This record gives sequence, structure tokens and C-alpha cells, in this order.
Amino acid sequence: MKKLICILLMGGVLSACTSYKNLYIPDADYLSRRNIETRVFNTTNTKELLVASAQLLQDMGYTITESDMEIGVITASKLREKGTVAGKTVLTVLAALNGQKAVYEDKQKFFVSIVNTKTNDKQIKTRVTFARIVYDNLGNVVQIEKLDDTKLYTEFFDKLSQSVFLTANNI
Amino acid sequence: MKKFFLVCLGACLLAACATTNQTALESKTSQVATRNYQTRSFDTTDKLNVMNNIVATMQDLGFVIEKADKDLGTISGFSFTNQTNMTVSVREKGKSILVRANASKGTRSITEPQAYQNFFNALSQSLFLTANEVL
Repeated sequence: MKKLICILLMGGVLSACTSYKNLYIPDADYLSRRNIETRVFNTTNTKELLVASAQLLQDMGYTITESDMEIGVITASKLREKGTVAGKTVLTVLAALNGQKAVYEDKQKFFVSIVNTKTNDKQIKTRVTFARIVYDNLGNVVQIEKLDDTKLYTEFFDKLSQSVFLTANNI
Repeated sequence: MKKFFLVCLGACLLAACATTNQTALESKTSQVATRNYQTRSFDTTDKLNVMNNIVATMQDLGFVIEKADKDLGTISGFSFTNQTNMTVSVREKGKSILVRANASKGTRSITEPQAYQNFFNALSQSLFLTANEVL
């Protein structure tokens, strides 16, 4: 009983003591991340770049959730399977054999924001950010993460360059 | 005796809970005090530039921008690095611009002034302008 009271008290005290005063301090890698997430395009036509960005997001299966032409922002998201059906089936069968319910990573929701900013009279800077939330088969959030893989961003900008060309040629 | 103690403890913990109205309206906190640490003034009239720099600062801090509205002057995002939501609003006031940020993590508002100070420090560096206290 004393233990229970102690745990309750400790829990109460701890929850009251959580402090977020160290939030929003840029970490040591923010400049390198900014470089990875940013490309400069030799154009002054923000609208053209936004339209090409929207086309690319549609190419990649995203649903556009928000856009603002003046600030140059487009945001989008998409829900996708995580893992293979075969793998999930094996896990389900194995768990059933042990008389348990299988819990596995089931779905993932991707989020992307693209921001276009005029840097001078000749160029527009485009910065993209990817992130995802992973859910298990019970609907619980398993993982929340910003995606920082350099290859992801390199491939995205290759596709965006292509999209700018295709869109400019009405393809 | 133990039961009595537990009932007392339970009652105390329940009494510490805010009512629905208090939670909905955040009526336990002072509006003026909240605005004080959430707002800074910048000596510029270029609203679009301020908004662009807010977006850039939020991205530097790991936010994914979710909404942006130039006319209303609001930008919202979610940080996937520390799982916080933030809305930043921009208002013109004479020859300066007021920037106000409010953030929350899960079910809890971020009420630590230092967290906002950190955000405004980062924004100041991005804008090359000093963040002035308003009140």
C-alpha cells in the first residue's frame, strides 16, 4: 500500500515538473539539414514553381492539404501500407498459434511541405521537409519522425527539376 | 486509516483538475502575462518578409508547415522532432510588426517563457532584427 501511495505521489510530482524551457533551440545540424532540404532554381516565376511542385506531389500520390501562393507554401500528405501483407500474415499466424493477438507496424502517413521563397530578382529558393507517423494494426502511433535521409531529398529535387520541365511544356 | 488516506489523496488529486470550462478557456492563466511572453515586436513593415522568415525558422527547428495564410497572417506547423504544435501570427502595428507564437505538446500548453524566448532568438537571427518585448 505504501508503495502504491509513493508511486502515485511520484507520478503526480513528476508530471508537474516536466519543463519545456529548452525547446526551440536550433541543434548543431540545422545548417547542414537546411542545405540538404534546399535547392535554388533560376526562375522568378513562383507560380510556375508551385504548379510544378503540385504536379509532382500528385505524381507521388499525395493529397494536397494546404497552399498559399503569396507565401509559396504547399503541404500534402498520404497514407501507405508499412511492411508486406505476407509478413503481416506470418506474424498473425505465429501470434495465433501462441494464443496471442499480433501487433505489428501496419500503416504510415507521410507529410510533406514545400516552401518557395524569392531570394533575389533572379532566383527562387525551394525547401522541402518530409516526415511520417507510423501506426500499428491496433491504430496506435508507433513512431513519429522527420525524414532526414539525404538520398530522399536528392531524389525529390531531381524529380522536381523534371516536373518543372514537364509542366513548362504542358506535359 | 489507509482507506481514509487514499480517499483524501484521491480527493486532492481530483480537486487539482481543472473544470471543462477552465480547460476550454485556459481561464487559470492571465491573458496579459501569456501575451507578454508569447509576443515580440520587430522594427519592420515588411509583413511578407517576416512571414517568410518565420517559415524558415520553423523549418530550421524541425517543423513541417501545415498551414499558412498571408492575409490572416498565420502560420501553423507540427514539429516531428519534439512533437509540438505551434501557431505563429503576424500583425502590423504602426511601423513595426507584432509576432506572437503559441505552442502545445500533446494535451499541455507550452507555458515556459524560455521556450518562446528561444524561438524568438532564432527568428531574430533569421530576420537580422532585434525582438523587442511589447509589454
